[in-house]
Amino acid sequence: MNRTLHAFKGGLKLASHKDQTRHIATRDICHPETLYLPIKQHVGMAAVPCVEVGQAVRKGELVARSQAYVSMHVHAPADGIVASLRDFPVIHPSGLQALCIELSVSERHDDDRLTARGANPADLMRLERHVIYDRIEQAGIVGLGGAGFPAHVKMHEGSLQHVDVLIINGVECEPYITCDARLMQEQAQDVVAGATLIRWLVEADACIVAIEEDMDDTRGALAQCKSDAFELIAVPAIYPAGSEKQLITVLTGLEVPSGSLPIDIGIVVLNVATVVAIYRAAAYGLPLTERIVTVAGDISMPGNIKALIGTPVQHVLDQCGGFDSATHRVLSGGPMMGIEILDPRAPITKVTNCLLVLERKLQPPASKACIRCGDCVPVCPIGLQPQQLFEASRSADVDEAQDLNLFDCIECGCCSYVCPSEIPLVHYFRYAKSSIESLDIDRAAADDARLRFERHKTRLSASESSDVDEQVSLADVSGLRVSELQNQVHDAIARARQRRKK
Amino acid sequence: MWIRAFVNESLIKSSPHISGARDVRWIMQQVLLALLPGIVAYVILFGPGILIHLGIAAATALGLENLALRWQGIDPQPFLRDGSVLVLACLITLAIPPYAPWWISFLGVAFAVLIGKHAFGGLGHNLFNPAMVGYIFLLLCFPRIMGQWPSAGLDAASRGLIDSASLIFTSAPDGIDGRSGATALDHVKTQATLMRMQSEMHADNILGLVGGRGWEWINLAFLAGGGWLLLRGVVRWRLPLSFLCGLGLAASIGFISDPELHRGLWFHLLTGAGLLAAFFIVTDPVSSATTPKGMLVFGFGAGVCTYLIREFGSYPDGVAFAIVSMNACAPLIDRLTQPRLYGTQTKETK
Repeated sequence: MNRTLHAFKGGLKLASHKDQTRHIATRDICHPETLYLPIKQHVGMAAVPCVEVGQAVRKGELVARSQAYVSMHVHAPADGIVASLRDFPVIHPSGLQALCIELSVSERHDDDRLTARGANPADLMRLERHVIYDRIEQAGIVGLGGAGFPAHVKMHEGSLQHVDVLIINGVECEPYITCDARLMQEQAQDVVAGATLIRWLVEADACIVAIEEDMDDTRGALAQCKSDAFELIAVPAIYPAGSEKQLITVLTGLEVPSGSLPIDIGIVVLNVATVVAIYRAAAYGLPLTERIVTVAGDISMPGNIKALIGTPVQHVLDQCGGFDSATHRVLSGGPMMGIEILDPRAPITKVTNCLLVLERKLQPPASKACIRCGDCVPVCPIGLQPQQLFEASRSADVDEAQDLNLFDCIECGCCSYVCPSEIPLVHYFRYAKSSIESLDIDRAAADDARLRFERHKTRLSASESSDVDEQVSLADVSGLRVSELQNQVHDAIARARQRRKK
Repeated sequence: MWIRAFVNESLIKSSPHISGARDVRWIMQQVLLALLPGIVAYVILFGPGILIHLGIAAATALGLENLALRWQGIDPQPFLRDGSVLVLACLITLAIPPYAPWWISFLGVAFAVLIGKHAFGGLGHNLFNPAMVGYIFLLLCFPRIMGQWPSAGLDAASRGLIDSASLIFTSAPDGIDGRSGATALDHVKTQATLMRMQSEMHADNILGLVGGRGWEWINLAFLAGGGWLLLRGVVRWRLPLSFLCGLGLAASIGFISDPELHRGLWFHLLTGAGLLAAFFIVTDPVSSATTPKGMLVFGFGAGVCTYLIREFGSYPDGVAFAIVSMNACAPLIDRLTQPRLYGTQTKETK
């Protein structure tokens, strides 16, 4: 505990509201009759369904298969019958629908699968590393902190480069959310086992479990395990200390270079719930089919609940006493970065860490004019100039916005929080980002069309030519040209994806 | 079921879903409150004339803001509620001699609101500080009226409200000649052109203790208000401090180079619009620089310009011209003083 902590720039001290749920034990809820499993609950390509309508599936069975490197499997959280494959409301900022596997849950046959494999980390560490990687991938584990990045990809990238520090992120900086705190307190042994295992897996020199300084119970529970596999460090409760980049700075004093990933400076950050899920996958072969969700805010029975992936939000809220939908709204995630849930049928996914019921405030209309007061400048943890970015985003000045480093914005919401004119700054920035991305994609598509046209032209001219030798050389030349252009297109698409990942 | 279609976008709120307590209305209320000590000092030293002008200015500002917004098809309610236009009215009034005719404050505010603010796109879009734009307009058009300040603490202070009103509403511009004179800044400047040395002026009654009779007290009142704004976090230290440093440093250099020709540090800080500018005018967020370093540059530049115009220009107080000149540079200053971003080694000034 002697590590010197570093401050990150900006940030806010927020009312934590965590006492509402922090001291209540995680509870089970009765399962719904129907589960809706979105085939995309992660960053990357959607999985492809591998079941048919009417097919009976067992708990833990693969129902949608990953078809790409950055993608993830989806498993059945319960025994049941596939009722349909269709577009269904999901948790989405604009209330869009997405393809889901509808699963009618059968009578629950509880069978304890925790005996399948040796549970001891020491036993696991005798295996080949790729076996463990394989188990993680097969279990469909993504980052459970909210980003949803496929865990095996992160681990795989980590295994390719030297890892100085493995950071296990238990800093829940968003107000209200306590699911990670409860998890670390109630399943401290699994956290320790997971940390030990993953540290070995990525061959990290050091491992830190980071928690917030006001998580006393959690600290106690983890300290009791007396593990020397990691340092337990409590960081000051300043939002967004739990954000990957900021946490790295707080713990190491390093900064992730703009446009790079933590692994580029030898750091791997994993959310603590992800670590536990990885351990269970490695030890017991358990796929990720349930998670802990904090239910908080204006609801009669708040707390942390264990929910099957795919459980409709409405079902969870009903189990927690319900709420008044006329005066309140529900967020997925915390109040700073959460998404408003527009349709109560939308299912819990792997990344849903919180359902927050907040009063729908009817405020007098604000002028929403930026008076350039600059309140947003000192709170930005990246050091952006939100008031300048706002003007650029609003006037759709694409170049200016990129010059002002729009894509470095982590959308933490500090600027909008302090804005006295109540301008939804982050909303503008997201909008600008997606506009620029779609421009890039359009440009890539145009390049693609040009490429096809040029190929067509060379084919035509080649067939016109009677000289065989000339035809060959022409084909060679155009082939070169084509591959070059193709690369350009791929680069452009990769750039766009990279940005979206952020 | 509480499904809400994505039809009415205003219903859906993007994150974050909570916000801090401050709003523009609160900020403007704090600024108005902070101006109170200064206004009280005006009334004590110059009599109640300023109150009448404040009334005229406020009514003009609210009325024209309303009209201008309606004309653009914008709901004026949120803008009238937030009080920013009242601050504008107050600042112009404080720059007008308290017994100038009524149409002076009317014209000044009208020009500030319509040209200074709305011609540039309304709240938040004006390149120049609208109060200074209005003041400069008056100064250029009516230099004689704008130069005639009553002598502080003499008969002006004892004048009653009705007497003041009749003076403001009825008297011809010439009618106030007998009762008013130049300010300390004016005095220093005109006397200097008459080849009088600063040491010879020490005894001049008008120069008061430090910053001109009466003006030093008004400036101290603004300092009190400004200090309170700093404590409340409405104003941050960078702009006021850098402005005072710029003004003070320039004044000190001038004084050291030739004490007989130039008055020193304390005179310049405590006379004219010195501290009013430091806390209420330089700090206008819309038209000043917003990056941390940019604020320092902006404030310092405004301070130095103020001194240069005061000492070498043909107008008595340089604040308005200094601020407007720096306003023009603010976008450039912001661009050149971008702070270092997280994860970058050097600041980006593309």
